[in-house]
Amino acid sequence: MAVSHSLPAPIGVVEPQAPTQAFSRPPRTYLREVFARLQRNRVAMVGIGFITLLIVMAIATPVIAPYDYAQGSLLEANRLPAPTHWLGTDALGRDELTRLMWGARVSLTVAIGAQIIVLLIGVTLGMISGFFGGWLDYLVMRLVDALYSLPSLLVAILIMSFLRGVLSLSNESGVAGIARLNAASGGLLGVFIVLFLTHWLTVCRLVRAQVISIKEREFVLAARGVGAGRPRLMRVHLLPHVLAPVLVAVTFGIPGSISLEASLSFLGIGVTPPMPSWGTMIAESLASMRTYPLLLLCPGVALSLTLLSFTYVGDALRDALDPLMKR
Amino acid sequence: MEMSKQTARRSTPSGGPLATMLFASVLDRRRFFGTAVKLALAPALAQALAMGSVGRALAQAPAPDQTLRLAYTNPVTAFDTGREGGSPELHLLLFDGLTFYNWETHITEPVIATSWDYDPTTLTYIFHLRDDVKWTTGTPVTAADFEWTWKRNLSPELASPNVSFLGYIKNGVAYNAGNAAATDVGVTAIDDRTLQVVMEDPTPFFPMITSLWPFFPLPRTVIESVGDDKWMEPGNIQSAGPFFFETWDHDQTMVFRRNPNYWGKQPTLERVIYRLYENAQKQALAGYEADELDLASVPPPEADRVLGDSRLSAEVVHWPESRNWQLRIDHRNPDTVLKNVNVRKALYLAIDRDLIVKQLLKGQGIPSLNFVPPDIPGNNPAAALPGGPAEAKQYLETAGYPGGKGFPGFKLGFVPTQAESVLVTQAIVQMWKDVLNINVDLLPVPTDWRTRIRTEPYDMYYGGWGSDYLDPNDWHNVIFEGDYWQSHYSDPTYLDMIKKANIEPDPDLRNQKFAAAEAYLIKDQMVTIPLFFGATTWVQKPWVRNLRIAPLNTYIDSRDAWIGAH
Amino acid sequence: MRTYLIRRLLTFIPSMLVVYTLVFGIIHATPGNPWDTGNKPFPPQVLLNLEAKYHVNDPLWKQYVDYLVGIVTRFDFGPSFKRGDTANEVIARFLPVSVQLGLLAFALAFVAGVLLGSLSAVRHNTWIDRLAMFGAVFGISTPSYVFITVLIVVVAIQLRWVPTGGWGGLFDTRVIIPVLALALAPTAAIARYTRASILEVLGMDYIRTARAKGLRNWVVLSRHSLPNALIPVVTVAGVALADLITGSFFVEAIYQVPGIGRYFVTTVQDKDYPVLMAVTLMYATIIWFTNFFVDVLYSVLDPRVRLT
Repeated sequence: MAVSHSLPAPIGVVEPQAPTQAFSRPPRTYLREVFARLQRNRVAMVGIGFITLLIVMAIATPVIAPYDYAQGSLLEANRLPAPTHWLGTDALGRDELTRLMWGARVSLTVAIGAQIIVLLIGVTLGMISGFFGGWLDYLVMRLVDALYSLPSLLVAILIMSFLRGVLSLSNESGVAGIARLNAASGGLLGVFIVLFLTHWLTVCRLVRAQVISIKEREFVLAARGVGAGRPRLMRVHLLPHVLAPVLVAVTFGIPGSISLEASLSFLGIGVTPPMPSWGTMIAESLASMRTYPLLLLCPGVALSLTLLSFTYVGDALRDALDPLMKR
Repeated sequence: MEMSKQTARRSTPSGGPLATMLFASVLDRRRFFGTAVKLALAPALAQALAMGSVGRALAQAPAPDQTLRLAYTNPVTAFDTGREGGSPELHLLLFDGLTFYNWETHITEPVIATSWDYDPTTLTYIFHLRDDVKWTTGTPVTAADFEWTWKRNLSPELASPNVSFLGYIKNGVAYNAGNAAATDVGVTAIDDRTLQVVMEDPTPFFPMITSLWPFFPLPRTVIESVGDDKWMEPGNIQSAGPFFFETWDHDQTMVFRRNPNYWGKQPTLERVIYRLYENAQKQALAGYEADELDLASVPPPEADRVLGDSRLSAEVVHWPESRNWQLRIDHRNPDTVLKNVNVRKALYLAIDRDLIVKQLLKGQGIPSLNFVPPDIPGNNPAAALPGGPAEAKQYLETAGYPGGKGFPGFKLGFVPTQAESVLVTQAIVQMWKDVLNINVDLLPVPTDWRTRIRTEPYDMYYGGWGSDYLDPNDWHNVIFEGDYWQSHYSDPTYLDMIKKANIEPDPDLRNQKFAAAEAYLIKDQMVTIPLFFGATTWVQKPWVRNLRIAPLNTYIDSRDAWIGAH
Repeated sequence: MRTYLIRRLLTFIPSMLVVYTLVFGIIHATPGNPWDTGNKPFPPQVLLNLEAKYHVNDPLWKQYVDYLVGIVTRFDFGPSFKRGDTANEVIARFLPVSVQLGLLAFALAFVAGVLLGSLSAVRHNTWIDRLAMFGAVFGISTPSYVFITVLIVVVAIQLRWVPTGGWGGLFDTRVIIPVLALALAPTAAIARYTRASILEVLGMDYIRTARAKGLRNWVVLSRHSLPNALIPVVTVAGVALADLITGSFFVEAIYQVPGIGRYFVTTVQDKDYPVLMAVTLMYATIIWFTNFFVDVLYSVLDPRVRLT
């Protein structure tokens, strides 16, 4: 292995630039290092490109979708791709491309949204638990351990069943409000809640483990010696070290969330029809797979490609954030 | 998925001795054919009749291996006739009843009961039983077995959902509620061959009811020794029917074997093997195509492929169902927009049923514009409200929402696991949007929603109702007097009409009265919005002969079937 | 080590208690009852009788305690609300099938995954590596219900190599499709982890030393790198094992395997609470113990790791 000629700059230190050295590199911050490493991974860049495209498309869907996702004529059912319908129509005559786009919107919204909440709550809880220790930590960890042993599909189904039961018929004001919100979003609120509840454990545990391992390190002690208060310690000194693995976990959590949402919709307890989701589209087209395979291929391939992209990006992100892992 | 229902046996009085006794027999056959002529346009019905005669015309030697392989949805409840509310398919293989109701001839045929007498003054039936019916151990089946079984099925400890069937017996309901003792229940075995039953109210069609499975005699010794939960296991069970229960590989297969000691006509089939599925209606086709099953239902999403395949399309058979799918409305809810009859009529007229049947259900249904299916005497196709989308818009305008403006919307509930409900309800909501420009929300509900809407208000939900026996009473009276749809419909005009119709002794007049009630129900008041009558599509191996599928509860009757050489 | 083991084992009871309480809470917060389902109207009196029979109307705390006592003392989870068996009988009947299927799938996944991962690592950055890893990620991304349906159509219906469903024991042809479907995702995950782990190990100094000493490549790989590389894989394998043993709802429902995995969904939909509680606690126990063994195994295999 060749020996590199210049060592990477230590974190945060800016090297003085010698004016005569033509071949010195510009100073790099940690973040730029990460980006540089990420850029080297071409597959990941393709993945990031795909995801960005998907997100942009998902946001723009209400504007750019060619048709209404619930609108269809039974006379036009199960058509093959044509200039009017680029991907054909489904069993109710609805445009497949539109439904695919809305499905992307649904899947990405719930998955990314749920992970953001997971990030906020998991990081906060894990940080507090790890930092303060003691009985608080013990309680939180017992709770997390207990919940960790529950299979997520079972929990998801239990909670969905509970939500459905409560929200399906109620006139008490508080719950009725939530029920209306849920109905308006096409059942997304329920799925959202379920996804968040099944994924926060990983992040919480991860953060706590990280905090415990770094909180006795020298730079933390130094900061405390200088007089940093606890919030400042957590925010400024611990958080950056915690974020790296958490970001990776969240990036891997997104395909997990999308899969879980697809499974729930496949079982019929996910989003409410006619709101499309890739899971519902797969469920609706699986039975007629041999007659109209395109109807299964579209959501299936879309789902697979999205999960693929997130997984590759997660890999690359992990490699980029922690260079020691890959040598 | 089975979709049978309970029937309310409340007050259904009837006068007229002899006429009412013959009610279910000869006169109905005439009525049936009259209706059939009226519905010569119903293709499924006609085809089914044609299929039967063509099948019989093909004579062929029986194969050496008389094994029939069928599919069944895994019975979640143990298939105890006392507690099972669904299909009699398995019960009919193992047990016989006092009678058998032949849905083709409308005749209640004697089975274990050779004859029966009815005394209208004392509301008493006397059933005379055969003496050659034996349990698999060889002990004879006696009237005492019937008495014990009916009382057992009524007992409050068993908490059977079939109480409504048995409730016609005097003090039956009271006993079940804990207000009477078992000895008060009006069924007594006078001797081994005579069974006396006292009715709660005049019930001339009771013999027809005794053909239903809650009335099948059950082995007392077995149930008393191993309990209610285990007596069906093949090692324990005793049965008295054409087959006996040989093996039960739980959640996998159930095997029934011909009973060599059967008193009646010996079945040609040696074995019937049921393969158990989570949802046989959707999954059995795969096994059929791999030649593992002899009969499978064709779920609508696969219909196009099956009908387009040269081999499979030749194996398709159609059977009608005595069932009606409807949109049921809460008539007690003061806040729903559906309380306006013009809104209901608009919704009814805006649905293109032909399109849904053709494109979504792929022919597995017949558009229904009235309430009662065509094979029920007293059904009234003229009860349909004439009109189309233009009239629908007019009704909506009369209701105060011209062009859909200001329409508050409502929620349409549906159970996602019910056959095709997901697609059908979406199609209907879409049609309402297209024609009437209104927004309706879909509400997927859990299966126990039906309990909650007894007390909680709702707007509308999608459901299906199948006949247990072919009489308009099973529709009008059972549904609306017993409120089995939780429609909470209490219009005294209608309730009066059906009460009077039910007790009418003259069968023709009775059917006319029911027809008039139906016209009021739909054309006038649009109490419920009918969608389609049932029709099922199956694929059947060409070597299977004489297999019948009943329109009642869609059960497969394989007792007379046989396998041709192949 | 021993103190750790004891302390950790002691947390089993409170963890299960938390699980029990949570499930109990959700069950009783969900409206509806287990008996009035589907289209069959239910006479109200019958419902009252059933509720009395199953003690559903007792005060909540009493139900909580009684049921808990029943579980702890007699291991009795109560009768199934829907089937004719008790919850224990249901589990006794169907759990072995899931376990057998799961173990077989795990064996396949582990062997195939390690082989694939090793191959990828050794042929790092060649087309073999890229193809294998693409296949692996694709394997994780494909939903099992899609994969098994395609398998059934192709292998069972069109090629007629195996039957379309059922279970006949471990040596029957009917294990092939469910095992393949179950093993897909774990194989992919294990392959990815193995590859990453081997690559990391191959970069270590002692490997360089071994090569410098002149050891053959094969020896370097098998004796020096693979055992060390497999240690982190233990965690993934443990998770996969727990996942597989508990059965998959989709595979079992679609292929009619009489296992316990189907009861995931059916018990919730049927509101068969005793069986639901039994199944949940059983799953939680299996997963808890698998996690525990994995942690212990990891510390045994890797002396650098110390359990606290």
